[in-house]
Amino acid sequence: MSEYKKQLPDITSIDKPFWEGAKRHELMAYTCLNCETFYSQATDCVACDNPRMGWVKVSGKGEVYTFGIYHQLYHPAWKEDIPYNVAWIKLDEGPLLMSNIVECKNEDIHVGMPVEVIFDDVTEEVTLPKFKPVK
Amino acid sequence: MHLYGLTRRQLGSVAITLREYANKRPEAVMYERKLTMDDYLNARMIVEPLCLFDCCLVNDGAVALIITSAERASNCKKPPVYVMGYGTDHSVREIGRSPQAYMHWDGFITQKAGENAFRMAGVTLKDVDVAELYDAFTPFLLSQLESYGICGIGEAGPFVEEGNLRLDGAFPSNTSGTELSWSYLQGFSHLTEGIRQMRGEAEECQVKDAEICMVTGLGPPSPGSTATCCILRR
Repeated sequence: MSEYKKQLPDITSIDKPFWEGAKRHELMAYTCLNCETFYSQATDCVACDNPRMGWVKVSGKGEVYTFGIYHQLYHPAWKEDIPYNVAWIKLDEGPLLMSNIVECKNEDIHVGMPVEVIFDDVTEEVTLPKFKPVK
Repeated sequence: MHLYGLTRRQLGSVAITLREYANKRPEAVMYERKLTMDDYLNARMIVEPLCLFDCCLVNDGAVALIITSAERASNCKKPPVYVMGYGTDHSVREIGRSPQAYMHWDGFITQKAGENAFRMAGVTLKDVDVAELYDAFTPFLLSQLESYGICGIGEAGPFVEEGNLRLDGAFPSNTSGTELSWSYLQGFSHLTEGIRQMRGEAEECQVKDAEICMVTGLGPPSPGSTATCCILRR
């Protein structure tokens, strides 16, 4: 497991529940506990003016909202992976999440493609949520 | 591309239009360095669908602006350029909240930035003689053409391909080649050229009798996009 050479998230108190959930193989999203409007970060809900925010487990199902194929090498650890994809996933519950599409050729990825989460345990501490096509 | 059928040739026409302006400006990084559609279509990909020529230059450079009162400026050697209005907005509050924040991700914020700038200036888009729109990447320019209402939603690709950003087009823009071909100085690329247009100093790229110039800035949608709009008058 210590062989993993790519960048790892710098986990802080703000996003810790997300990464703890991933380690349990549960996809977590940050939401207003009153009206269920999702955010990436917020101290208050601007939709219903409520300060009760928290993390909830989501289904892990969604679709490709948009994507790009990286040909430029930005970090040496990715040398064997280029060209690799980076996609915005629109989860069924609404929020957007950036990740990679796996178990799919780059040329087969398309906007609107149904996907579901898989969990890649890259180190003992870190699990990365990635997405694969729904067959 | 997915929503409106934008083509790579249309993205290429943005890069080429701006390169043609820069080719005429001796101080431009891309002075006399031509770019053809073949060059564009055969360039290496950076992040597909964007290739090398969709991305701005990376270069050093410097600009200094002197901002003062109209009264003091009236005694200076160079003719003053007046700031008639400005506006700004950001979308940090929308991030992660809804896909609509990304679809036309700059639409909400450019609308407010533009409305405030034009209201303060007391002019409308129809009064603009020349524009310098933020162009870190070719799609930035296209999205602003649509979201500021310069052309219709989904029409920016054909609008540029038809030559409307050229000196003889409907909306001459980015007349030095700006960040894609002149010099990457962030928003100062656009302000500098806007000021030169208002002073009649834009050499071969001068828009004849230009009196009103629109200058914009735009930040990407992560962690939150920012738009600025400024109206200059000679």
